[in-house]
Amino acid sequence: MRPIPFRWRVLGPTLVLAAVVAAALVGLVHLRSDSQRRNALTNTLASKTEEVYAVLAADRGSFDLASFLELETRYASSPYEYFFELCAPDGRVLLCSENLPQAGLGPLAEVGSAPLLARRPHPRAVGEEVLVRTQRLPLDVAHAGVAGPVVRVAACLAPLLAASRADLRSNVLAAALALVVLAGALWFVVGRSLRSVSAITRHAASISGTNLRERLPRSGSGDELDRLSEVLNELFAGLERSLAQMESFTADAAHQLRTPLTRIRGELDLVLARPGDLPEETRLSLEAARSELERLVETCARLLLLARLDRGALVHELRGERLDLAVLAQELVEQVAPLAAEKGVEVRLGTSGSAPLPGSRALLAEALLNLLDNAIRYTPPGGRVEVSVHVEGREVLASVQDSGPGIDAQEQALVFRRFFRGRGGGGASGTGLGLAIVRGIARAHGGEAELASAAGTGAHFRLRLPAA
Amino acid sequence: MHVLLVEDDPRVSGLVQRGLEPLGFQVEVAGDGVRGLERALDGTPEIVILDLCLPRLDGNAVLAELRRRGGPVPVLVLSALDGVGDRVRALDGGADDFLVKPFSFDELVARLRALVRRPKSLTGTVVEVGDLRIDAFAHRVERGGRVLSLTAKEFALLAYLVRHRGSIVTRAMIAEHVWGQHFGSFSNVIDVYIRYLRAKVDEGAEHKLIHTVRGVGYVLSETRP
Repeated sequence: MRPIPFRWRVLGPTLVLAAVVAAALVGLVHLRSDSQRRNALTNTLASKTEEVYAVLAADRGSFDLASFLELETRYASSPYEYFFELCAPDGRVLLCSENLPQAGLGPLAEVGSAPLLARRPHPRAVGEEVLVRTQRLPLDVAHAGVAGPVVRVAACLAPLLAASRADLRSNVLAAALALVVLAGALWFVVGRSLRSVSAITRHAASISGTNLRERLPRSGSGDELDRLSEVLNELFAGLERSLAQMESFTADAAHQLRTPLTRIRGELDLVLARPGDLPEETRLSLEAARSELERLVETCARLLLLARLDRGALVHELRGERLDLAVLAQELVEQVAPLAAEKGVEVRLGTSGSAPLPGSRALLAEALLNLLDNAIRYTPPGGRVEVSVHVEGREVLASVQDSGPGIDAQEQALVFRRFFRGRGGGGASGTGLGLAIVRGIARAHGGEAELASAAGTGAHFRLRLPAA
Repeated sequence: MHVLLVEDDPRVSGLVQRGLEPLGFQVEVAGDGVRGLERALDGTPEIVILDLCLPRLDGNAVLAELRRRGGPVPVLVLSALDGVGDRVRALDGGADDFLVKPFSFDELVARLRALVRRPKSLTGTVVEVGDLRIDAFAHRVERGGRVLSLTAKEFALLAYLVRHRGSIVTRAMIAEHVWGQHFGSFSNVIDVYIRYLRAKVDEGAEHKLIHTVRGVGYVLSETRP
């Protein structure tokens, strides 16, 4: 799975949270202004009922035509569509505004002394609704013989709903706009801080095993990023110290071993130079000691070479040299061919043109010889070793592939380790440093040595080196 | 033969002295660079064994000064450093050979002898060892009047043995001079080539010319060493 970029990990949750908060706010505002509008309408309906009551009360239950006309015009000219109706408690319509059809506001519900609010279908427009306020008036309409007539005042809800919708729309729009602005601002700000982090990452990545001396630049501001640089710098310093200690230890140890080894070897040589003076048993054990010493000397020399490769000491001396790896491989293959032939192993070389690169001839020969030597050693008689050198892009690839038993799955990752000896067994003569040296040499040239074969097929080692 | 050994560690110089003297070398020891340079210039050593890590004046400086003043004596550098750079620096600075510590005595002796008995030139001359005739200019080898066909490497190896005829050459010397190889164990390859060479040069011949010196190297001579 691809990792989610940090920017999205910051932006995503923040925006979701902001959207939830904005939605809640818009909803609250909407509910509040809706109820305000409804209260205002209810109040208006109440005051209109008051007006009817006032007119009726003033006329003491009779209808004054003038006041009736006045009421009617007032209702008709109102910007909201209002209706009013005066009924007997049994539902008989006594009087209604001009804008109502014959049936009035419809059947009348049982009404107590408290006013009643209800939504009813619009008397004329299909699909719309009106808010109806029903109230029983405490007076008699003498000429109609009605005691406690019922007043119903209604208002069309469409304008109210339209206003509410318009409000909601603009609020949602404003919230959405605010969210977009927030997202943009976050994108920019997070991106800017991430750029500093990316710069630190890039810089830290460029400080590798070979140039541990470098340090990350500090802004001096003491902020989080500055502290990150500081911590990384301390880490690098520690790493450099321990690496230097390790390397100088290896170099010192190998070096300090040389003088005593020289003397032990010399003493053994001196004694064994006159084998006639020695009892047979003593001579045999001294010879065993000497051949064991040869291995120690070889290990010591290889360790020292590794230490020098680690320090990059050899590369500085040899960077100026240029060579053709294809030619070198050809020479080395010719050199080892008799050795392979004696064992019944065929060595084939495939090159395509020249493969020039800057590097040390001696070291690269050592690396290739190690690989060739291993390949021939592990290939059974009748088998084949294939060597190839070619240029691919900006790299020179040299590979040595054998038809031997290959490398076990559990040993694949270990073969380049120092002192690693495979179960296949390189015989007792190996120092376990050959492949570590191959890798050290490849790395000293800015390249890499790798195992390209899977378990179960012949071993295939490859050097990848920067081309000239 | 008079050998000047410039070496500051008395245990190493004592050892070399004890090893070389029974073989007919007279070993004079100088414990530091300044004294070593003095003795190399004033004395009459036939060969100088020079350690590189020396007090007062380091080995490379001794070498440079010795060559600047025109001292012709052959110098074998003995070093605990075995980098290619160290070797190249010493050889460029006028050393005649380079041997890494810890060295084997046989190796040291073989190299000293090879240096003192300056290798005979082959260019443009025909050299005969017994009934072996080698013409380096024409790249032509005959044994008992029969022309031998050798590969380029076989010829180079034979030429090296002939140049040092009568002296033991070690495998390391062959690796360095015939193959230009200082690293790694090359001895297997050399043994195979020697076998090829023997098959062509010595097979069927009454007197073998190429002899193995067990544990040391090879020698080309009419008589067994």
